[in-house]
Amino acid sequence: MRFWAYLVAGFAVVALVVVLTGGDLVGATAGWFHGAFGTTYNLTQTLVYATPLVLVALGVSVALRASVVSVGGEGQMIAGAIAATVVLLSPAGSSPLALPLGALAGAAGGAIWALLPGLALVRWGVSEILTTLLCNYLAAQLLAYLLRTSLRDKVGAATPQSASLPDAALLPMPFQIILALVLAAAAVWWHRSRSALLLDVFASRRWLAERLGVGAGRAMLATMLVSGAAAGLAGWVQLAGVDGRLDLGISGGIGFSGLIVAVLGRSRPGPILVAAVVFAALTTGANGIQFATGIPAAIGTVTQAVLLGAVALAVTASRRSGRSW
Amino acid sequence: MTVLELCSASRRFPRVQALDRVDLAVRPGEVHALLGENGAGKSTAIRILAGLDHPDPGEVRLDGRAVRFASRTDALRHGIGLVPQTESLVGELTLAENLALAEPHRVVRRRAASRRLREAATTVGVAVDPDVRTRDLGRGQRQLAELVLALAQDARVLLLDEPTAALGPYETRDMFTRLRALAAAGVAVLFITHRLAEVRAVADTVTVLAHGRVAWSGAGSDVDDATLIRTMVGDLPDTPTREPRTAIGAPVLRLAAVSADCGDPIHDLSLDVHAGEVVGVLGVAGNGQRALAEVAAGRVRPAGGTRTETGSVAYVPETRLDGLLPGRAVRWSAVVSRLREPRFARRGVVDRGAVTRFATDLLARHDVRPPDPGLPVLTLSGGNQQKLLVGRELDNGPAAAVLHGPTQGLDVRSAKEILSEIARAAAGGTGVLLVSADPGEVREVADRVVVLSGGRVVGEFPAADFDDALVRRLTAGGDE
Ligand SMILES: Nc1ncnc2c1ncn2[C@@H]1O[C@H](COP(=O)(O)OP(=O)(O)OP(=O)(O)O)[C@@H](O)[C@H]1O
Ligand SMILES: [Mg+2]
Repeated sequence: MRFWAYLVAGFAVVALVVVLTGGDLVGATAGWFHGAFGTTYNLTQTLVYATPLVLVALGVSVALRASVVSVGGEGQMIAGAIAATVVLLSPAGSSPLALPLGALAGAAGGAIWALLPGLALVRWGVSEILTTLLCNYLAAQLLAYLLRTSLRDKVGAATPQSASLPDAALLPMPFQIILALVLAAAAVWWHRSRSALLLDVFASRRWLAERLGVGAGRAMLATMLVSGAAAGLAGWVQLAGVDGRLDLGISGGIGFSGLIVAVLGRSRPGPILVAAVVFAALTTGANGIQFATGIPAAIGTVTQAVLLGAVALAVTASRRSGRSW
Repeated sequence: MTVLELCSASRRFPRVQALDRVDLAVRPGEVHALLGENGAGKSTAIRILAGLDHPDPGEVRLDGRAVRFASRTDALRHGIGLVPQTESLVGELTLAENLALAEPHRVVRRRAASRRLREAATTVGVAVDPDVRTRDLGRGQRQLAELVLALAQDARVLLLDEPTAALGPYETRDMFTRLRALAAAGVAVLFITHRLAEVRAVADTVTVLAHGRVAWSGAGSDVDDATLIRTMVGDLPDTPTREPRTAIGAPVLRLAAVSADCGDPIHDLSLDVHAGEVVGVLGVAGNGQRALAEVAAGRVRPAGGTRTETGSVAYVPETRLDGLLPGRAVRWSAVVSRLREPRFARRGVVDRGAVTRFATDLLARHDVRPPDPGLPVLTLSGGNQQKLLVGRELDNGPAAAVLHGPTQGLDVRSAKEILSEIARAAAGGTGVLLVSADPGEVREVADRVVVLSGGRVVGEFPAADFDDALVRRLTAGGDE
């Protein structure tokens, strides 16, 4: 209940800003709605942008249940996209199995990128927040390097990018959305499963979990790998479903935004779906606002930030009052 | 002349009327004991006086004027110090840092804080080192530390919520001597206890709460023990006559030359617990009890030596919330050690219905009140949390059980029931290691007693030879 109050308050703050700066609130809302959902094209844009957010957020939510905070979505997405590119630019990319192979490669790439921070955490207790963050930079550098060397498009382009994927490897439109929905459904099941509950126990009273056979190493490593795989899959979706080739902007901040979506959705699959669409709509609809009222499209980013703040407050408040489930 | 009082104070929680028009007054120079069964409303009353909660309706009066403290810090600024039932120290920090944290200065004055704490500790005559991480102190020590913390901030009213629950008789007696001295110097003391001997030793005035109402109040000298017990918990069940246990079997838990360090280290300690046997561990707090319990329970791997277990090992840690999932609904804490059983999941998904049924039954069998599996653990009274924890751990006939202060915070009746439960578990073949600050309960239920001092076993004797003087000599805890 309180959660929604904070969200509404967040939107109210934005509305207030718009009104105080002399903006036309009704026009802005209409413009936003049109920009995000008004036409089939705009709606599709919004959903396509929401899809990788959902994937990353679902992964993050798994790790959060074991109190593992992974901020490595960016790097894992990149790693997934690189792995998928390598596989899909090989003869496998033209085979009828290109889609599953690409997905597999993406997930594996993301998981491998999460393995290192995972091992450092389990072995030496190095904070996963630090290491996953560092791995983001590593991945970005690796991407830039590969795009200038072995993965570079031989056919002349000046920008560092790979060759286009073969048609068989491209993910046709509704499929990615179906994939996100299927994974969300799986996540709904998982969050109600015994393993998820054991992770809760692990997160709050480790010795009780260990007595139930939940080893610290396995619990943390497994959730890190799952969240990495989910982000890697998002990398593949972005690659095969949107860009069609690997370039420097493949992750485009989605790894971080996915984390925000996980927090907005309080780590639950249903709310994550809603949060991802709202979050995506704030980006896609912002242009509509600018178009309709002249308010700069940056208002979308401002709103995202205010919402994050509101949610952080709501989460803190509910912690203090002691939550029960 | 009263300094702090509750005037017709009520407090309702969703499931219970915790306080119902309660009047309670503390006076300078007086030690006031607050008694009552588990869940009677004692902590609620004290929390209201300390500014952690508010009466609804009702009033708190300070020096005769109605006040409304904004927080515990606010109350402390008015000279009201609290030692809460659930510790409130930041475990990662030292006591001095905790004090610095509580003060209004922006700069942390560690050295000054440390000095003031040492002074305060001397006034109450407790040995608390202000410069160790409070996490490394035993539970009794941490409560003494909170007392010192309140005194270092010049409290003129001390509100103590079961300050002696984790202390043995010698430490308790020392503390009472100092409380009397403080009272003589004009401090008002209100303390909660479940032990009548303590009331007799130190209290001038007694108030008994029952179901949120004042059931008796007056001078301690005006009332006898039997009346107090009857007002608190009704008639007591007879103490079950002790049958000597014949069926003591093979060892179920063996410690061979183990060493470990959990704040108070143990060295080269060897100890076997046999099936069907209760081994009592006595000693002055801080002599390795915690390390022994943690190692025996398998929660801490010993730095040296070996530990062998033959089956499941139950564990009741000294700090009860350690063994529960606080903030979550009671049902999860009730079921947590048995989550692997197939009946609690259907096709991998947790079966809430089965969990709730199991929890409801467990709460009823162990008299946890209110018996509602949906309430957050933190809303249970301290004693009911304890019953939940001990009940859960002994419920399943474990091969061995390590119980550290299992009757802490329990009222007379519940304490008796837990002791019978321990005896029943042993009769059923469980090997029990009972680490306790209370020689009385060890005498009542143990077959064999070991005495711990400086992290080593310094004495061992059959319970039949139990003798206070012997224990005192072995622990060097008495100062006479
Ligand atoms: N925050 C809360 N929410 C709901 N119920 C509460 C809350 N705090 C206390 N209660 C209920 O109020 C009653 C009184 O609790 P309180 O903690 O005052 O008991 P107590 O006398 O201190 O018992 P104990 O000896 O076990 O510590 C209990 O029934 C308890 O469950
Ligand atoms: Mg209490």
